[in-house]
Amino acid sequence: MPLIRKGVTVEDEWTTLASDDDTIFDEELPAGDLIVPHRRLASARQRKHDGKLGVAIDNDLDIGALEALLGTVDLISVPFPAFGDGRGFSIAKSLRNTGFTGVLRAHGPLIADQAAFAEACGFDEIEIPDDHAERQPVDQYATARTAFPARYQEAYDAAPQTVSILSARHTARH
Amino acid sequence: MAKAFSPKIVSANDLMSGYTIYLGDAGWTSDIADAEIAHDQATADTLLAAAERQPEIAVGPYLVDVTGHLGSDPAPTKYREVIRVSGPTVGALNKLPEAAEQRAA
Amino acid sequence: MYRYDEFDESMVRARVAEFRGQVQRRVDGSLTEDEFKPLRLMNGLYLQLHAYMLRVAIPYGALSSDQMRQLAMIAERYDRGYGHLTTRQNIQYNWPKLPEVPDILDDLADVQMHAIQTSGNCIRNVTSDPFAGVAADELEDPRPTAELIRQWSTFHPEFSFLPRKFKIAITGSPNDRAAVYFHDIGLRMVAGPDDDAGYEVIVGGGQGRTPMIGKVVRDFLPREELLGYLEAIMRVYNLYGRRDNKYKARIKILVHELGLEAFKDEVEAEYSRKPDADNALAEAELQRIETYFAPKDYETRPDRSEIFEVARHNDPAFAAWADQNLFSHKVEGYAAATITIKRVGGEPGDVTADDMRTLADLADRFSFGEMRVSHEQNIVFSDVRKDDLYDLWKALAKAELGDANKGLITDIIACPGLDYCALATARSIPIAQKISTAFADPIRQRDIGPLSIKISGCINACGHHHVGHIGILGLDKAGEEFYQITLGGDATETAALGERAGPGFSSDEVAGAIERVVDHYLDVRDGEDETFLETCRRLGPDAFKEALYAAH
Repeated sequence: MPLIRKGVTVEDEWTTLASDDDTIFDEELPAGDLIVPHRRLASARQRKHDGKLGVAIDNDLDIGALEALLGTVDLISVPFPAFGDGRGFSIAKSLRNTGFTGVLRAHGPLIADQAAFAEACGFDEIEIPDDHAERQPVDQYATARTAFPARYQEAYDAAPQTVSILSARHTARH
Repeated sequence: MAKAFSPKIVSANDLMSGYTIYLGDAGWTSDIADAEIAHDQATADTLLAAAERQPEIAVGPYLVDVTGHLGSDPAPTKYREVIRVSGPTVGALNKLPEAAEQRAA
Repeated sequence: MYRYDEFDESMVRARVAEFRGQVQRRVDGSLTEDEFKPLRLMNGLYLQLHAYMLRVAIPYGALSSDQMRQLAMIAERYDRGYGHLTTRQNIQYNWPKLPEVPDILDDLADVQMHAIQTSGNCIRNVTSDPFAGVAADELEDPRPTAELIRQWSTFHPEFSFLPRKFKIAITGSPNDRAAVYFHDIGLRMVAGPDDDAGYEVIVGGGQGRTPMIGKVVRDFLPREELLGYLEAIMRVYNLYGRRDNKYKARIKILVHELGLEAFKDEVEAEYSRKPDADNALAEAELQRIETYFAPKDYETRPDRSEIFEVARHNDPAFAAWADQNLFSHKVEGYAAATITIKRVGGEPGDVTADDMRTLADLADRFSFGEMRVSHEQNIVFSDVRKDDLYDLWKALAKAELGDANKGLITDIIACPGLDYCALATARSIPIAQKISTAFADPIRQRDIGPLSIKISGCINACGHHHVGHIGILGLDKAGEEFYQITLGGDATETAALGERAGPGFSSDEVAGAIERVVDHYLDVRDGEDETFLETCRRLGPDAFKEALYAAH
C-alpha cells in the first residue's frame, strides 16, 4: 500500500499489526515501529517493545477518546472508509488542536484532490490501497497538493499553501 | 403466481453531452426505437452489465421498463422515462436534443 | 458590491484549472464516475434527466449588470438561450456539455463569478435578504458577514466532505426575509447587551423530507467570534453527523437526536477547546469587506417625488405596480423595486438572454448597475430614485417584465420538477402555469392580496413548499402525477410548516382546488386587509378542508 508524503511515495517505516494478530499478547512485541489496532493498544503498552508505537483507530471516536490517546503513541492512523467520508479531517484537526505532535496517517482511498486538505488538517502522510494507486499515480497527488496558491482559512498552517489570505491582506494594510 | 416480466431496455446519460442515450445492438443511440429490448431478466442483466463496462461513454446506466414486443417501438411505462424521450414539456426554448453519435458497443 | 482582489482572482482561476484537470481524468479513466461525481458537484455540475445542469453561484444574490450580461452570453453560447433563477439566489443552466464546462467557468471567472460549492456535501451559497443594505427595517447590513462566511467556507480543508450539504442564511432585519429558521445555520444580526454587534445563532432548520424549524443555540455571539464559533459547529457536525443514511444526514437530525441541550454542550465544549481563535484577523477582514458595501452616491432627494405621484395618479397600471412591487428604502427619495420573473403561463424564474440584457441595461440606467436575485426567483433593483420609477416601469412593461404581482398569487415559486430534475416525482412548472393562468386577472389578484404559493416536484422540497402559504407537493400515485396541498406555511420569523390539507389532487384538479381555497378565504376573511395567512392562522387550516373537498 503506497505511502505518500507531500506528494512523494516513501518507504513505510512502520509495520501494521492486523487486528486478529495475537502476537500482541506475547511478552515482547516485534522490534521496530509498530501500529496496533486501537482495542489492543492497552495491551501493547504493557509489553516490552524496541521501537515506536502507533495506533490504528476507527473513524467514529469522539473527542474524549481522541484526547485520551495523547502521550501514548507516536503515530495515529485514521481510516477513511470512503473518500466521501470526511470525518477523518476533523479527527486530525482535533488531534492537532489538543496538542498531538506525532505522525498522523490518513488511511484509505483518498483521491489526489484531497491531498492538500489532508495536509492542512494535520496529516503527515496518506496510505492508499494498491488498486487505487494504479488509477491515481502518485504524481497526481503531487500536482493536486499545489493546485491552489493560497488558502482562505486561518489556523490550517500545515497546508501546502503557505499564503493565508486573511493574514496576507492584513499585513499588506499595516 | 409470479409477476410477469416487464420488457426492459438500458438507458443512461451520455458522458460528454449529458443527453439521454439507450443501448441498442449497434451501440449507444439517442433514438429509443433502436434500443435493444430484453425479454427476460438474464438478458436484461447482461445488457446492463455491458453498459456498466462503458463508463467512458455512459453515466449511470439503469434498466427501464417498456411496453412493446419484437417489432414495435419500446415505450416506457413510467412517465419520467417518457419525459426523457420527449424532453421537457415546458419551455419554448427547449428543443429535442440532437441525435447523439452512434457508438460501437 | 464586493470586488475580488488578486487573491480571490487567483483562487477562482486555480479552481477552473483544477476542474479542467478533473474532467480530463474522468475522460481518461483515472477517476471513476463515483470519484468524479463529488468533484463535479463541488463545481455545481449536476447530471439531470436530459442533460447536465450547471448551478452558478450568486453570492447572497448580488449581481452586477456586467455579470448579468456575461450570464446572457453564456446562455447563448453554451446553452439554449436562458437561465433559471433558483430558490437560493443562484442561477442554473440546463444544457451545458461537460467538455465546455471549464470554458464556462473561465468565462464566469472573467466577471468574478464561479460555480464553486453550489452542490456537494460542503458549505453552499450563503443566502440573505434581497433588500440587504437598503431595507428601512434593517438593523445591520448582512452582506459583509455573508461575504466573510463565503470566503471562509471556500475550499475549506476540513469541511469539504461533510455528511451532507450545508446551507447558511443571514438576516440583518428582524423581519426575516432570508428564512433563517429553515437553514442548517441561520444568523440574525442583533445588538448585544452593551450594544455591540453580533449574531443570534440558529441551528438545525430545514425542509426536505423531515422539515424542522431551527433552534437558537446562542442568543448572542459577538461579531468577531463568528468564524471560530462556526468552526466549532461544523466540527461537531462533521464528527457526529450521521453518514449511514443520506436522508438522516443533515445537522437538523443531529440536533434532534442529541437533543438541543446536548448539542449546545458539544458546540460550546468544542468552541472552548479550540486554541485562541484569530478573532482580530476575522474582525479586520470584516472591516475590509465592509468598505465594499459603503453607501452609494445617493442624491439628496425629498422623500415624496412629484413625478412619481403624478404618474401614479394618471396611470393605473403603474399605480398597481408601485403598490405591489416596491419596498421601503432607508434613504429618502429612493425605493427598492422587485421585478417579477413570473409571466402568466410562463416558467417561474426562467430568464432569457434578452431578458438578462434588458435587466442589465435597466440596472445601469436606474440602479447603480447592480441587482439582486431573490429566493422567490425574482430580481430586485435595490436603489432606484423614486423620480425614475415610472420610466423604469415603462421600460419593464415594454419587455414584459412589468407585472404588478410581487407576493401575489401568481408570484409562484416552483422547482424545475420532473421536466428537468432526476430526483422529481412529478412536474411542477405546468402546475404553476395552470394556476397563474387561472388567476391572471390583475384585479382579482390584488383583491386576493399577499398569497405565496410554493410548488415542489418531490419530497426534497426544493420549491420550499413547506413554507408556502399554500404549498403544493408533487408525488406519484400509481404512475400518475398527484399533488398534495399544505396550508399555512411561513418562512419568516413567525416560522411555521404548512399542514397537509387532506387527500391529493390530479394535475387537472389542482388549479380548481386552489380556486376553492381562495374563494373560501375571500368568503371568511375578516375584512379586505386580513391576508390569507392571517385568516389561515385565525381559523386553522381545517377551516379550508371542507371547501377544498366539498364539491370534489
